[in-house]
Amino acid sequence: MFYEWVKPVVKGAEGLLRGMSIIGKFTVMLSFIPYLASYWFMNLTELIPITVTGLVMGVVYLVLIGDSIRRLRPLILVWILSEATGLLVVLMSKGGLNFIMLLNVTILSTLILVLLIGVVVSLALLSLSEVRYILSIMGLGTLGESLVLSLRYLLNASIGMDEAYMVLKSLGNVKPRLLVNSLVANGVRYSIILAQYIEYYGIPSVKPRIALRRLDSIALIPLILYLTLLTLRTTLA
Amino acid sequence: MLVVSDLWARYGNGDWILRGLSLSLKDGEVGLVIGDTGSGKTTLVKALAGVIHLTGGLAKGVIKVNDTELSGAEPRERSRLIGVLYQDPAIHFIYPRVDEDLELTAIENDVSVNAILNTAGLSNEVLGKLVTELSMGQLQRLAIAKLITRGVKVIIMDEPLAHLDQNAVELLVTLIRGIKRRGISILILEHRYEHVIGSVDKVLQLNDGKLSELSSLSGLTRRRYIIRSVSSNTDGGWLKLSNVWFKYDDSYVLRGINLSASSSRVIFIGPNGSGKSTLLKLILGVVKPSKGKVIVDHSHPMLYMPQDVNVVMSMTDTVEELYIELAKAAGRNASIEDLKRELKALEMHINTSDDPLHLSEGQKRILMLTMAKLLKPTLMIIDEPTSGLSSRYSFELAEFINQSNLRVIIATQDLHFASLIRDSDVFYVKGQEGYVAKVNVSEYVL
Repeated sequence: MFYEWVKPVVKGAEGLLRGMSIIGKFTVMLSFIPYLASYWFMNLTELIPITVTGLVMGVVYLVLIGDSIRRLRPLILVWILSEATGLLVVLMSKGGLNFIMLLNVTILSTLILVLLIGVVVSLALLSLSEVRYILSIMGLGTLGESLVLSLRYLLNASIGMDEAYMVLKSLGNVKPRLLVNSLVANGVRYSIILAQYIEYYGIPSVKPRIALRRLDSIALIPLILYLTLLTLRTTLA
Repeated sequence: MLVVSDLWARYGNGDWILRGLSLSLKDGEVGLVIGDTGSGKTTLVKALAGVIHLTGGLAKGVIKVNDTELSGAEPRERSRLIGVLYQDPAIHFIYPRVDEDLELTAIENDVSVNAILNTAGLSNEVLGKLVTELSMGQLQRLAIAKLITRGVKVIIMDEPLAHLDQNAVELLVTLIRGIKRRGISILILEHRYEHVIGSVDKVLQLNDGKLSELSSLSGLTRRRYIIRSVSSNTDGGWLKLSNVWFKYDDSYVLRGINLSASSSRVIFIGPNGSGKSTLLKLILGVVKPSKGKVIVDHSHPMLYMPQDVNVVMSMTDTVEELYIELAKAAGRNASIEDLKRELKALEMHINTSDDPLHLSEGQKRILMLTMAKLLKPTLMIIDEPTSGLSSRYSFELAEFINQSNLRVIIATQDLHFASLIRDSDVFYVKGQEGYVAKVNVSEYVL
């Protein structure tokens, strides 16, 4: 139910990769950018190994950070939408749909998916305190605090929504208005309790680890693989 | 050392709830404050923490910790001396991930995360989990460890036993003894005092806004419970679970559960995380078993009463509206006059035009049951009905259920409450181990 959807978003990444430095976490996202950029200067034959490699790397990352199925679900939806949009554009153009155009659209959609996987993995790897730190050095400290509290509230609210849903479901009629009322009023009640806590203890805040760690080198693997493929392409040409 | 003298507190222009209250605790001394629901225990916590103004309140008086006068001190400054353990320990974790929150606390106070875990008596298995994935007992011990890490001199515990099972209570009592040895004073405000009475140095009764020390503990009831297995007839019955398995993520919380109930009152008891609430969800039909069958002889409307009744109380702006809306959802006719009459008969002074969220926790639960009685559901399912309730309200709830002819399923870890429900089928559940036994709970007053 609601909690099951919210949980992976709030929980972020699990496992070994969580121990990366903030620089390593950003590098994950950056290392997938060249894959998408290749679309504009490589031909279709060259793009096929690039796309397959990027996709495999992305899926490996998703598996490593856990909850891969749940994270992949919305990403696949984005892939279907971009594929459909691409096909629509092709169909509406004068050229008409053929195998080459279909391959072209599929490769572009898949490369977009690869980049999005990089973004999702990076965001999942970043801890809330790191996001808050980044926002604070950007002069958006209040936004960072709001983000922490919003996610905390979201987690609590999803459990409350599940409970409210169960009450109405047990009666036989789930009225959305009552669910929304419960979400809002109970949320206000929870916020007051949270405000009391914060007024008393404050929100812990410290500078995240900046120093590079050996683990960060994992973030370079997609980039190294990409450079290898690029070198092979140049050599073969 | 904590010294409080002539403490007054109230909300808005209302009557004074605390009226010149005084108390003192020496270093390492443990004080227990007892008092009925609504006697002002939560107000006392807010006044000591200096956050009563956030809920429209006002407090005046002298509060000293180790000779440092706290009146006028900022809440953040106070929090370094007086640590407050809130009733819901999850509130102590602002970051949803436990490891992140602990790491920040560790860095702020120049200690290691392992040191905090050691103080809490927990292993690093809790790291990497969300606040919502830990048991109340684990969260509470971690919250206390965080307070100790901050170097507080006094810890105030607001109903620390409200959500704990027997095992977690024993672990908390051990932790309290450890805190005492560190020279930290503790003030416990609690209904279920019999579990901690052996570890306290003084018992204070909160009555009429003042504290009075009990000279003798003879007036306090201490109870013990014996759970005996009784023979179970697996044939027939209106509720039947056959080889039921259920898993969250990758771990099973129920493994091959079999049970059959014929009494109209069914109670599931067992430790935290034993799968009691999951059983309720399966019976309600909001989740499906991974394997096995759940057969319940019922039709709509049922009525599920969650552990946190506030999710229901926040559905409308007034008690009247709430009753009407729930009746509509249940497809029943509703009359406000009937509700008023029932509440009057129970001597519940509830204004039906008031916001249900403003009622006391006890009143909210009684209101929910009163509405259930009028709506006549075919089945009532209640999760932890006595959480945070004083013994008086628990007794009233039990009597209400005993006198009604509703078919009820209850999940609780409150053995006192379980022993009060008559003619019931009680099942002791340890879902992960696939263990369920029909039992009898006997209470012995010592």
